[in-house]
Amino acid sequence: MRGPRRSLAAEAFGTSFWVLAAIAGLAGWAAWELKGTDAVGSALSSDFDIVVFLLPRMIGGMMLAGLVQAILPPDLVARWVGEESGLRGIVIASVVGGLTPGGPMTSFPIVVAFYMSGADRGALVAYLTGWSLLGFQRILVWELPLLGPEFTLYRMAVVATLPVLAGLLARRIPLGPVGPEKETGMAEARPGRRR
Amino acid sequence: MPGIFGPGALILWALVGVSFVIAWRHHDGRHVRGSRRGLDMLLVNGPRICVAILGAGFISQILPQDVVAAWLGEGAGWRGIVIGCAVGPFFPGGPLVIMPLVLALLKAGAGVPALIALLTTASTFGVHRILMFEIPMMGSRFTALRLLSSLAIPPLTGLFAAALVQALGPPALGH
Repeated sequence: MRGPRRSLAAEAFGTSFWVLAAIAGLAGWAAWELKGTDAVGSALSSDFDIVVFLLPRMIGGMMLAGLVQAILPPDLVARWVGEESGLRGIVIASVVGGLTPGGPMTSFPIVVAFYMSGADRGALVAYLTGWSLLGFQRILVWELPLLGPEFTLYRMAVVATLPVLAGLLARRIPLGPVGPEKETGMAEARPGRRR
Repeated sequence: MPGIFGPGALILWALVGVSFVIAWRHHDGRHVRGSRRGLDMLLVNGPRICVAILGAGFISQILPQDVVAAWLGEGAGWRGIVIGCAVGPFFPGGPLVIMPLVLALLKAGAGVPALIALLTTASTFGVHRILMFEIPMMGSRFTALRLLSSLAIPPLTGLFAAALVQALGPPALGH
């Protein structure tokens, strides 16, 4: 198990860590130059409070993200979309979008697969909107730890119905046939239809 | 400082417990895989989140608080929401960039409606993602359809957020 562990450490302390650390260093130096030692001290103590407050939430959020992925693998969830139409189809696509883990490298192959398995434009738009506004992994890994539970709940309440709205609108916008312009070679990403 | 183990954390950990049991009841090692995956995410993202919090704290000290409050604060109303909507699409790099920035602005006095609008356009209209993924994979006509259908979403989130803040007060930060 040494290989994967080591690559995890490499990922943890990869480019983005050092870029963020450099930004933090520069900003810290600027704060010290512009506002003096007191400003740096108060920033540090407030950061410390945030970290202490968020640590149990951060660990819980990431454990939950990992477990949800293990219980609901994306290819299983994908089968729910495309088999439903009407408002139900759009609602399901929005929820499935929110349940899709990861960044655009996960969600776009899935949306191409939905397209190829016959999902309508409303479902496709609802799916992408649901994923970008309510993607659980981004919420649990980033938003909850950094912005705190109350901000996260406010934002989720505010956006909850909007993927459905976008999907309904997409069905009404008169814009010829939509879809990939050329073969994208994503056929193998088609959601598993094992039976 | 509010309690470290407030209701939010308890609910979260209750959900962790429930999903662990659901995973375990499959009897195929999912509970181990899932927990391991969660720990991996923690190991990878924990250090980044800590430096992001550090940087956001310093940046919020440098940002001119009166300017931020005037342009993006709760009192800025429509103007804050419009600015949030307008700058959102131009942050590449996903949550790693946008979340620390929002934290810094929040600490410097920006209002929740403007920041929620900013997060909304960053995720639904992100230029970087549209150019790199959406147009190549789904075509420009689908992209146009999705953008048109989503046009109303960012201002609506700003308005809903403003109504929510008015009804319940601004959300508490973890400090």
